[in-house]
Amino acid sequence: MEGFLKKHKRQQAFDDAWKEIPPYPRFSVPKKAYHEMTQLQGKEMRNLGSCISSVLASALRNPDSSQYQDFKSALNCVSALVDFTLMVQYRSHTPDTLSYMESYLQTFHQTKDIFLEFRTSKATRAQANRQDRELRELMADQRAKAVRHRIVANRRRLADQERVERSDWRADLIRREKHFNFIKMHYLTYFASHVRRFGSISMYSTEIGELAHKDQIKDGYHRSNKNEAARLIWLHYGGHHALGIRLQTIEALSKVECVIVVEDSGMEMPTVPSCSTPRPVLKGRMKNTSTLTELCTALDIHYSNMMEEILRFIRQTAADDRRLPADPAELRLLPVEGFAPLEIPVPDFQETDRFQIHRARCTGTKAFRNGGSRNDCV
Amino acid sequence: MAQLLALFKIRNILSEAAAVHRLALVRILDPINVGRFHMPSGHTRVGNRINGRDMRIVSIGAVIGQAQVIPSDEKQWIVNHRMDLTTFNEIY
Repeated sequence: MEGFLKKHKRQQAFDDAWKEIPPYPRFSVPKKAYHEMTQLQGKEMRNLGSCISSVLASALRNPDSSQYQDFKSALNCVSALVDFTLMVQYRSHTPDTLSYMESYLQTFHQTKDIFLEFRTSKATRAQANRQDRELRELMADQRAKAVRHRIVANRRRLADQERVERSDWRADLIRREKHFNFIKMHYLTYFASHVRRFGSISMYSTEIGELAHKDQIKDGYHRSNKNEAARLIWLHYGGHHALGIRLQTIEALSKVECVIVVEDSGMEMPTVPSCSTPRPVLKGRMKNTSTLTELCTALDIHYSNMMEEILRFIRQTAADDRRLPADPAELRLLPVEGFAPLEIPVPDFQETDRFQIHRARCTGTKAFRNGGSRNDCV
Repeated sequence: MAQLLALFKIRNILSEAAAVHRLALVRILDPINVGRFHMPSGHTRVGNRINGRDMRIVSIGAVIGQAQVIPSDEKQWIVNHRMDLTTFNEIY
């Protein structure tokens, strides 16, 4: 993709958009410019996949007429590949999701040729340059022999035609030499049939084995006295595993009946909190925000705007004893607490009993962790 | 979609119930092109509201999750719906 961006002089735009990527849960904001990254780890690759299509869309904005088709194909290709990888991560599938998966892959294969010319080796590039030079010389000879093209406009048109012809020849040569026929590209075609026969792809992820090596072996070894390491590793993991299973059993039982029966005693314990849906929570109190005036000063918001909006909000709420007073003088006196983060529980995809916590932050004009201010979008 | 401007808790000590309201002041971002997907990338875009009031106070219960937006043009952002499976499944 770097070659594509370089060809169309969009490298700087891409890097600018890359630097502007805001934080998001389970996403680490890249610290380096895109072109400075040489090797990507698994986590960085996942990060890249989750934001690449929107960063590319931002970098390829406002194309001119000659770039329009190329940009369209590139965006189509990258978006289709990202969509495919997202569909592959589904934990359960329906015939519809599988057909989406196949159609994304088909779109990717139809549009991937836009990046073909950038898969060239040094030898192919040298061969293409040599062919280009020979063609240019040949065309120059022919032009010199022809007398009728002496008018400037004709000469310019001829030069344009020659350039297009040379470019076509070059593309032909590269297409002959380069291809996408490699094993990782071929694998993708089997994903849908694999899901139909064996189930979700994520079940066969090798990452689980890699992580297990840390949990089962390395953590146990670090906690052992290093003399009887094998036995201590086994005891450490066995204990942790047994406790984990027990906790999961308790959690599962509490979800089913909202009560836990304590073993041996037969006593039932209600577990209401685990059954209720978690709500957004304000965390991290800000200093010097005990009234609305102070809050507005701390966050650099016009007090009049805040008062106007809060009065509008009060008018929309039901008139009961919980309602805030609609008098600005009274509102000014009410105690206020300002907060920076808001923890929002979001149900996990295809596992609605699990929640991811999104920490949306609002720091006003103040810097967040030695960076810029953070006023997240929700 | 909206940008957070302030998060606060206000207690109505003047009433007997002394109810606490957890509120957020937000700046509304309007969808560009009526929220249609921008082809060929398939993204939606949002921009600052041009007409009418752009700020609003909402209860924090109305906030359903964080969003990731990437600057596109001036005062326009691309909504990245491919961040996670939940967002991808909901928006696409």
